[in-house]
Amino acid sequence: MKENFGEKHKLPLSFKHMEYCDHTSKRGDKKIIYILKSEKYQSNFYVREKPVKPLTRLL
Amino acid sequence: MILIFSDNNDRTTIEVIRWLAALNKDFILVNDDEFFDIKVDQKRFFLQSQKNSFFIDDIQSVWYRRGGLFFKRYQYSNNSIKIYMNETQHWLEDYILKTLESKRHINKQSNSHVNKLLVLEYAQNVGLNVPEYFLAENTDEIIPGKTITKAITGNASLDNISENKDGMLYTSIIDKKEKESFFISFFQEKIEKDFEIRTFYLNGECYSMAIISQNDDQTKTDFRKYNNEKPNRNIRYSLPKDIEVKIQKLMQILDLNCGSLDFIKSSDCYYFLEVNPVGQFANVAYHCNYPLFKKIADYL
Amino acid sequence: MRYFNVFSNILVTKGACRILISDLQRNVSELYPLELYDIIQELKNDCIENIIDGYDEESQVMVKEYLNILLQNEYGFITENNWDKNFSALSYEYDEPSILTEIFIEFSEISVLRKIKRSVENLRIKHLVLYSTKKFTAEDFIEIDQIFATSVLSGIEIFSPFHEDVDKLFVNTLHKNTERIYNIIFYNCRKKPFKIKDEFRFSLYFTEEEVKISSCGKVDLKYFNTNISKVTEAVNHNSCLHKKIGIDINGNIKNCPLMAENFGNINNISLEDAFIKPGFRKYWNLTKDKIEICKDCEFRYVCTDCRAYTERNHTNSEGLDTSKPLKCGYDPYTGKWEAWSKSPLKTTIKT
Repeated sequence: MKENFGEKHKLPLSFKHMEYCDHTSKRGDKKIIYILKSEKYQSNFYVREKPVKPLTRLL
Repeated sequence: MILIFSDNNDRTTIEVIRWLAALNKDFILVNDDEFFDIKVDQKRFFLQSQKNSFFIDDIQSVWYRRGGLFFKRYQYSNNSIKIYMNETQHWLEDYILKTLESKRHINKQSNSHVNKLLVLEYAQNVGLNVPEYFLAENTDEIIPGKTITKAITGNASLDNISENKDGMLYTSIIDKKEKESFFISFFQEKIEKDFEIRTFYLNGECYSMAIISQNDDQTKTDFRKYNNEKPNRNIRYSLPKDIEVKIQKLMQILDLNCGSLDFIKSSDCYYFLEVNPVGQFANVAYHCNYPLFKKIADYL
Repeated sequence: MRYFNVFSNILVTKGACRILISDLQRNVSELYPLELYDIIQELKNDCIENIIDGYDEESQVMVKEYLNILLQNEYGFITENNWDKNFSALSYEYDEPSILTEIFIEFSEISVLRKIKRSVENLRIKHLVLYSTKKFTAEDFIEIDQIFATSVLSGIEIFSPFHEDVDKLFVNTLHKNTERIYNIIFYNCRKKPFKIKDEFRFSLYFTEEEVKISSCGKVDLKYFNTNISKVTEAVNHNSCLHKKIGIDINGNIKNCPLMAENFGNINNISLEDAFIKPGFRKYWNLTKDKIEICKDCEFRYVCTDCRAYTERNHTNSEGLDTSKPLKCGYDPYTGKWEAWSKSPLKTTIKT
């Protein structure tokens, strides 16, 4: 990191203890979610979900 | 009609909407990418965006979750006219915003963000314990190892501070004195915590969750640094009645009827840290099995 | 004096000869001996020192070991002078806003799906499971997914027979043109057409099994799971039939396609009409605690019941079948699993 982040003016002390992580798109832990559109819920961000229990036990 | 302001990817909003549907309550969901035109039709105020439109007086209640009501403003070329019309439009917008805020609501656009410094003062005034704090431009008053520093902003992350990296300004312990001075920073006494508490407050009711990080160095100072190996214990908790009464007083002073409050428990003492009017509470609802989404839907 | 506090999201289920400790936050369940149940009960009523003193020397070692296990697994914590009364009990209430949460359809023709679309919206159904004996083409899958575009469904699962056209290109076409499908199972597949990597927007399975609709109803460890939603539902309601609706191959509307009783036909009435018929919801609150043998089983809140295939040897005063599921080979009285299909009682279900 550049000295004082290349800033002319002082920064709060927190900046000395800054932690870095990969930019959001690469944050491994985050699960991929699939977005759906739902007219009834007026949403473009309706998340596709697996059921919390097995709905059938065919296998 | 219920008016909901949110941003596109807030899942909590959908959970409440599912309950509104179950209660047969009509709603309009406004996203943060919508811009509204103010119109008048037959003496009634009417708002229209690319996606939604409604009469102000048809709205019975408002849930300000995220985002907000944003207006389209017409720009005029003549400078005098521009100033005049800006003011005219400002007053119309102000009227709309205040009228909506006077209706039954959960949170308001105008106070969705709070001043952390003022909040700490108010908290002390109502009798809540607050870890000793001060602002400083140098480390003269700091006790190494016993003082922490944290942001006074709402958000502790700096996206894309450098190539492909985000910066996180977590609460951190100051171990040594600094020779140089720095920009005004917030310092607070480091409390040896037993565990943290997150409380969701809604219209006088408190719903708390204890967050216990067992001997976890990673999460000791700031529980937002999630340890995915062995996640913290998130457990239902009941704050003592006198603390809940003080919380009610604080929320009244702040003119907030909903929000998330953070506490630290240390021996017999509860230390108030901060309040976030529009924080996440889905995990409190889920882990503690509190019917928070239904309560919000019931109230609106 | 030290006191042991069990975390409120730890559920201890007592079975006839073992106990199951379910961690409702970390979503795992572990089996333990029955004696641990008694110790946990004692820990709720007295301080640790008194409890240990109450045992002879040999047993004291055992009690201390159990205490270690409880601490290591983070099932609880220790406090001085008294239990921490601020840690309140967890509520096991189950509340779900949708009128029905899932629909299981034995596929006959696509028109049935179009017919129910409106009802799915009204009832706010979350999941659709489709079982088909017809070999679906890529267009079929896409058409099914399309019918429910912008609907309230948050997921579709499809069972379809494998056929020669199902290759990587086929699956890729589905990957690019569907959105709600989260799981596809191709059965009757002698040889997997390609190696499956985690590359599609849905889970994909190829199985040799000749899956029939009557194959359903199995009770097996692989179907057990632990999470707060599932467990709170199981504590209060029937873990399979609650808020479920089924349509069989003839269009008959039932609690599930394998049940005998039908509440009308989809060609004549809507799902909503069937739902309000008396008796449609009669099994919804029949919990495992009311089912013979299951009520003594430590797995009863993490397993999924089946009312379609049961041992047919118990009925309660309301005429409900309260017999143990047929396809469950576990005996809670011995703690042993046996192959249920070999039991003489059960050979008739071989359709």
